[in-house]
Amino acid sequence: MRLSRDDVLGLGMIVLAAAYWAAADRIPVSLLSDAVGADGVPKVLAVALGVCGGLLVATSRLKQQATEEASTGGARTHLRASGLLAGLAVYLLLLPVLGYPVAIALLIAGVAIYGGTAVKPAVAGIAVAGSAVFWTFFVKVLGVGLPSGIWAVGF
Amino acid sequence: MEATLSALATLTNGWVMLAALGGVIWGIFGGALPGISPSIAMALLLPFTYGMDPTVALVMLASVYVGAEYGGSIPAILIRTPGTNSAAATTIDGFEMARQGRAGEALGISLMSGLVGGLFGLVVLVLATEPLARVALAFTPPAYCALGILGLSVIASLSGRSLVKGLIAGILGLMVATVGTDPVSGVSRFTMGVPDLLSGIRPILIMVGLFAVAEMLEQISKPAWDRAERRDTRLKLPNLPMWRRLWKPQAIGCAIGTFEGVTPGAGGTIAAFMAYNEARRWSAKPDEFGRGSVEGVAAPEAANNVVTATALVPLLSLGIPGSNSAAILLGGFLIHGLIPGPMLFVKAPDVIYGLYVGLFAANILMVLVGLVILTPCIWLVNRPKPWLIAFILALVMSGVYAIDNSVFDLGIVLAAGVVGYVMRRCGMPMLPMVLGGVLGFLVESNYRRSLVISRGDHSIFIEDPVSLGLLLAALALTAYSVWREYLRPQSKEAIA
Repeated sequence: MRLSRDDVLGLGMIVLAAAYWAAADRIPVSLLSDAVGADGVPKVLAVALGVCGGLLVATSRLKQQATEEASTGGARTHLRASGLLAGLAVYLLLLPVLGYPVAIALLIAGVAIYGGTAVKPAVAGIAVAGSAVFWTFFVKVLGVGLPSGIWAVGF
Repeated sequence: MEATLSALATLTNGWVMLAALGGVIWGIFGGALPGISPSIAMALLLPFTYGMDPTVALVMLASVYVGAEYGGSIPAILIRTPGTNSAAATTIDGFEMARQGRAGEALGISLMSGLVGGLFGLVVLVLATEPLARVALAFTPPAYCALGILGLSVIASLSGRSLVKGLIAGILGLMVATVGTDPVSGVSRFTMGVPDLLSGIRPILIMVGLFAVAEMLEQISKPAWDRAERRDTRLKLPNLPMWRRLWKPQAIGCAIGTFEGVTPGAGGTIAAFMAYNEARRWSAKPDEFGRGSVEGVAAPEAANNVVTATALVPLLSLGIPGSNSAAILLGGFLIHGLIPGPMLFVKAPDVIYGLYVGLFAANILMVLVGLVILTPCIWLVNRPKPWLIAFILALVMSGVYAIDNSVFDLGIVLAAGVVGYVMRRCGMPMLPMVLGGVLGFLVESNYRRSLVISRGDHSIFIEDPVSLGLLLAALALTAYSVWREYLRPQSKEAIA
């Protein structure tokens, strides 16, 4: 038996519902608690999610999806998305260390190059200019305390 | 007569007009930046208003509110990223129109519907503040809970092809809203020991992740994703035949926005979603909704702009700030020694009339500023996609950090982006999740407060007439939506 995407999604929701119920069950009971309790609504939601997950699996099975779902581009497309996501995760890690101006310039240049822009000096120029605009607006105009990283003295 | 003279004096006061213009420009840019809500945009200006004349200061703050509510729709239409919570409903058809190369038309409809909504709301504010203030007083915790449920009833019509998937998305949103400190007992829930989660997860983080980050992941993962598309880069205002088509959804938006605006806590998000739902219900072309319907842009835009004026009804008449933005405006009143409430109309009528005139000017200026900046905005989003994605992500990462100066928030946005990407791939609608995230706290906290009041007796929800009316409306809406979406025999055209 081959599982369809809806089967996987439905089963995933049932597992999530069970985990959410278990987490709700561990919420401590407070002396200030009301009749419903801090875990009351979450448990109702867990049951509702489990039921909906079950319904999704059931309807998917009933349809007996003979035709495969339209192709979504295969693993390669997911890999490209994962690459961008990894780049954003690296940005989060570098932000406190390198500081906002450097990290955002690297993000702009990195994403543009990852997206297919040819590597040339102009890329660095645009990234630095973009970084300067963002830094001026967010730090100088809005007064947001963006991380300065190792350049704390300079910024 | 005295009021008219006072209003005319304000209208010819250059400082008031300058404040309105500055406020609108600041508001539009603030609203257009993901993460900078109208209230944050107003709060950033608040310190600068200390030394100003009270009327000038309040007009400036109110103009920021007007501009920001409109500004939130610009990224919603152009890059599928609502700049404000209330612009989420505009993404449905606005972005679809942009994808079809009709961004200029969508922005034009959004701008003019915003003007209609703003001016209608102002008329309501001027003429009906006193009677409408009673509506605000009629809202008790059971009524608020029922209001939230009424908002959630829209999920059925936002679910697309699968009601079950829509319900799952809605429940996921409600689950996100349970994270943080319990509204009654104060114990922490689902925080996994992370202090940053104690205050919950802001809906705007989920929205930015679900829409902006997921859209970027989706865009970059498409084969030949950077192929150039032919697009109209000019702003296109509605012509007369279009106005004839738009009046009905705009009227629906105005009516719903009035009701939601005067209700403290309801806000533009519920109004926009409900207006979208009702406009679809009453449309001659309901099948176009979700596929780039002009009515699907007009209704939510009119609704959320009505709210910018009608949300001031409980503030001015009762001193109740019904939203974060109204609370900032209340701060503006207080720092100038003015206390909103019935006596304000006696003690400082010139300030009130000045504010009315300032709001009128702000709505007109919103259109003028829109006419100037929208075409460059469309041009900007038609730049080469690698650069567009790079700058959108840089903007998102900067704007989200600005909310709370938190790298943790950026992590939440990335996680929401992954969830949004997976949801798209699984054919799950995202708007029900947004709705659940926005309304979850309102529903749960008021549900439990109601039961505390009634000592656990659920009959409080049907004994309160407002609550009963809203619950019946929610039931009727849900039943009708389910029938329309899933049970009604499909026309041949729709099936094709």
